[in-house]
Amino acid sequence: MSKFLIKGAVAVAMLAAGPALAEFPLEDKVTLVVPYSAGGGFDTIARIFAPAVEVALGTTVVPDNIPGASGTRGGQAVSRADADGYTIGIYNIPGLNVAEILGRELGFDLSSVTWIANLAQSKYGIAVVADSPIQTVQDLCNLDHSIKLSDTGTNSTSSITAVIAFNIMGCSIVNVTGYSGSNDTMIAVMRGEVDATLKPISSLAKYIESGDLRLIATLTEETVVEGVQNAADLGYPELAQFGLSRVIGGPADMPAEIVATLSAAFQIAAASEEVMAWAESTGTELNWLNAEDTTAMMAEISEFYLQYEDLLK
Amino acid sequence: MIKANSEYVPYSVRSIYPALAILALAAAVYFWSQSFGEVARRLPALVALTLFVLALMDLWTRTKLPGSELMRAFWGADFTRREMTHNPALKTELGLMAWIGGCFVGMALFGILPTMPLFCVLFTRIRSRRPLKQALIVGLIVLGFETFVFELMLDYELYRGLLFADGGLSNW
Amino acid sequence: MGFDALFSAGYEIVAGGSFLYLLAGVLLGLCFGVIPGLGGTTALALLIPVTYNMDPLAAMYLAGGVMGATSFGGSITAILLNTPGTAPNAATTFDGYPLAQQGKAGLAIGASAAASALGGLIGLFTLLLFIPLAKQIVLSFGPSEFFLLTVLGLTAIAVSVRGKLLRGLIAGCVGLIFAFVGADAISGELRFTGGVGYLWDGIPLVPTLTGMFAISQMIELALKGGSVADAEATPGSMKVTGVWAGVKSVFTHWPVLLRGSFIGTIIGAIPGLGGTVASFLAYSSTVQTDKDPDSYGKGNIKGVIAPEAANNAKDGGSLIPTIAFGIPGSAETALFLGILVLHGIDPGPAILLYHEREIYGLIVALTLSAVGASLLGLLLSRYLILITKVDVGVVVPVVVAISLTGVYVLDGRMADVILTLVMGVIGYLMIRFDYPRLTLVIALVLGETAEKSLHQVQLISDNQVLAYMFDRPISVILIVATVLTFLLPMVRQVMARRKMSPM
Repeated sequence: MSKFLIKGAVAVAMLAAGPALAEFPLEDKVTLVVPYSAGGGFDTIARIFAPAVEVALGTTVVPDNIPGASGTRGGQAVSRADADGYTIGIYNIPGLNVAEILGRELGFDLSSVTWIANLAQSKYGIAVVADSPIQTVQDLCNLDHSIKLSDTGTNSTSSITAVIAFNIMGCSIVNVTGYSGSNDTMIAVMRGEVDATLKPISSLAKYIESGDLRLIATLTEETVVEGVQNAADLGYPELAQFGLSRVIGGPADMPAEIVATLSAAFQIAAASEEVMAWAESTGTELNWLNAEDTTAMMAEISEFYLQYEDLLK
Repeated sequence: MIKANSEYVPYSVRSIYPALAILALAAAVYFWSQSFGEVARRLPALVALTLFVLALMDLWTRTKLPGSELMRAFWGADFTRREMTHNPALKTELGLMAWIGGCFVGMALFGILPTMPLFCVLFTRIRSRRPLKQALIVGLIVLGFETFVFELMLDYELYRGLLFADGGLSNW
Repeated sequence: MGFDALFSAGYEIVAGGSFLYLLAGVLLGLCFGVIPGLGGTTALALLIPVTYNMDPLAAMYLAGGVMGATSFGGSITAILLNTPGTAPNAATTFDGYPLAQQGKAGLAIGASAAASALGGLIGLFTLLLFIPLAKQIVLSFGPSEFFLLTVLGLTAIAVSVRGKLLRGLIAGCVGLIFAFVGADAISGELRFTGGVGYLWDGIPLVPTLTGMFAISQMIELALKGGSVADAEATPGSMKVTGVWAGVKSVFTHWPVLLRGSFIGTIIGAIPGLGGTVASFLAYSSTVQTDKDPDSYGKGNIKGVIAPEAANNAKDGGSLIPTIAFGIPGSAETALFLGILVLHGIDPGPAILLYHEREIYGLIVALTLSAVGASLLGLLLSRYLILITKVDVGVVVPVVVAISLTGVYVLDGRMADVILTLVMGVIGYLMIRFDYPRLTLVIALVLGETAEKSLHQVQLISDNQVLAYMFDRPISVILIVATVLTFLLPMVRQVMARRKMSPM
């Protein structure tokens, strides 16, 4: 998507937001549902954004943790709320899309969620232990055994990405799942239990900086680190489609003005000093998208993963 | 701690029924686990089988079959160090659970803040037969604690009850 | 270098305004630790929104105060009401509660407070010595060691439930079955959920712990009537005695204290499960090396000192993974790291390099808090112990009401309250029919890790599980320790019988 298009969309959203700002957030507080317990990644980004959105919106924004049932209980709570903009939520994408494709009962219809904004997106990278003889993905595929990778859960986004990505590249893998967090999966690489791991670049970065791990490829369109292969270098540009997104959405059929107001408020928040400074210090890749682009992105993501339905099951 | 009546072990505790109940549980878990995939069923099936064998041992120690004496000694399966030495009547047991069940129903319908102090007052007055004044003091302490710590200090909204909260059962 | 940072962190607390936050944290932690159903995790989860507007260091001292104080708070109820606040506190019930029943709660609380404080200090100093090796320590524990550790933990508990080996093993198996409920960690397949969405993420620990211990114990007490402490043992008095004798007993039994602290620091350093296994291992090893193992479980003060020392020493050890890689070593440290992220500090392998101030601040806060909580506990013990002398008709409704509220507060779910009640009934049936509840709960704590690490070892070793384990020195040590823990009591039993039987 071109930068010009995004700028245009922002301008439209701002124009639409202008008059609506006066009427939508009247007295009530806005509840931002976080489908996980306090202290996790989704909770943190919600709590970082909340005060900045509060300023932009002129009303209180309260993050509300509704954990349970693998993050679907929070989504259910949002889908049941009135579509008046006072209850919105943050969604784990593509985790929920994949769960839906796998036939899990989410308890709400992902396609009827009103998408408001995309906050952040992480792309994936593949890393090996720093002193490993493996230099490229090709070396990894040429090992005398199936590539052993470490991951959290079988249905986690990174694990799904690993299964699909290495299938596209035609390499066979054994995904050792069950590690309790993405940090643990990287430590498993350092311990030498597994050959490599595929994780969001921002998570890998800490361990690459500290000299424990070495990046061998990034699933991105452009080169992120000099000398490290990107998706095009690998010969499979479609690999750049993988990513982990933190998306804001609301109940079905929210009025367009309210969506525009909220979306604009998140945009202002994303550009605010506090949020930018926080993102900088924690390596979070902010990537604000307006409602229209977020909706388009969601459709693309669903379609993309649907192609690999058989592989996932 | 050990009273004169602690040597007496009620029939229901010594009987074979607890062991039979566990035997049934083990069998049910084993057959249920057979419906899972290969990796997912491995350990549940193994543990269910182990439980089945252990429950059989338990059953054995509770009978007068040959060897049961030896089994009891080997596994330490006698009842000499019981945690609960009194033997309440079933009616009393059910009555107490009804009290706690009632507390839950009140909590579900009217919310935590009114129910908990009321439960304490009623329980202390009616079941424990303490003076009304004492019961009221206990209720006030509980009300004060829950309001101060959760609602005021930590700014946490305690459950308001099905009658007063939006969303009904689906919010549980 | 470590000590410099330590002193400046200590100076900052005393000289700056941070001391007040630390004190507030200690009070809150002690309060939440004492109340059944609430605990360190609930306290920290509730604090996250509150700390948002604070200065990062103040937030950290508040959280550190809470973390250091809850474990002693949990021991108080373990002693007074047979209701451990968290899983690591459970080992204290073996001898602590019998003492309370005999009217010697003062002795137990005194010993527990002194052992906690000293154990905390010993844990801290061992931690400081090991900081340079932190990375190697974390890297030497893989899935193979985790699996063997859970086996060691379960063995230590099975032999600790003295005289109830068979029914203890049965309860342990049921606990493992409970642990299998929910999505399988390896394949993601849903198991034993019966279509209930609540069970997808497994049977949650806090409601289970609260139901199994607090609710079921209250049912038992209410049916028994009277008060916790035997009226005959303490005729007609409301006096509390023995607190100082308890404190002194820790110094008389210093080898027990040292062994407990040592086990706590070493085992506590293993991320995730260290704490629970440590306190049980400290208890079982104390029993096995004692001349008179039969005196335990009936109110032997050494049976309180060992797990209590291990319990607070482990807080130092559980920071090792955090120091090495910025990863949490316990549920509480996970929430603590969440607070750091909220304040723009990104925990990672370089955390000690870039955030030395925060890490040493936490170490100091934890230590001061453990000592502070013990002192506070001693001061308040007089009033706390009265609980054992009050008519249970008053204690029962209050504990039921507060613990059900606490369970609701954890995640704001009424379903948790239902689970608590179900577990309360199961727990009561277990007391009634003499099946130990402890093995069930601990098996639930360890079960998931046991299963997933075994499967991981299978995948990593291409199904050569045993060969892989015997190739790793630490795994071999753990195997030997497990065999010893299991065999020692049997050997002793056989020897004792040989002595007793007529020639």
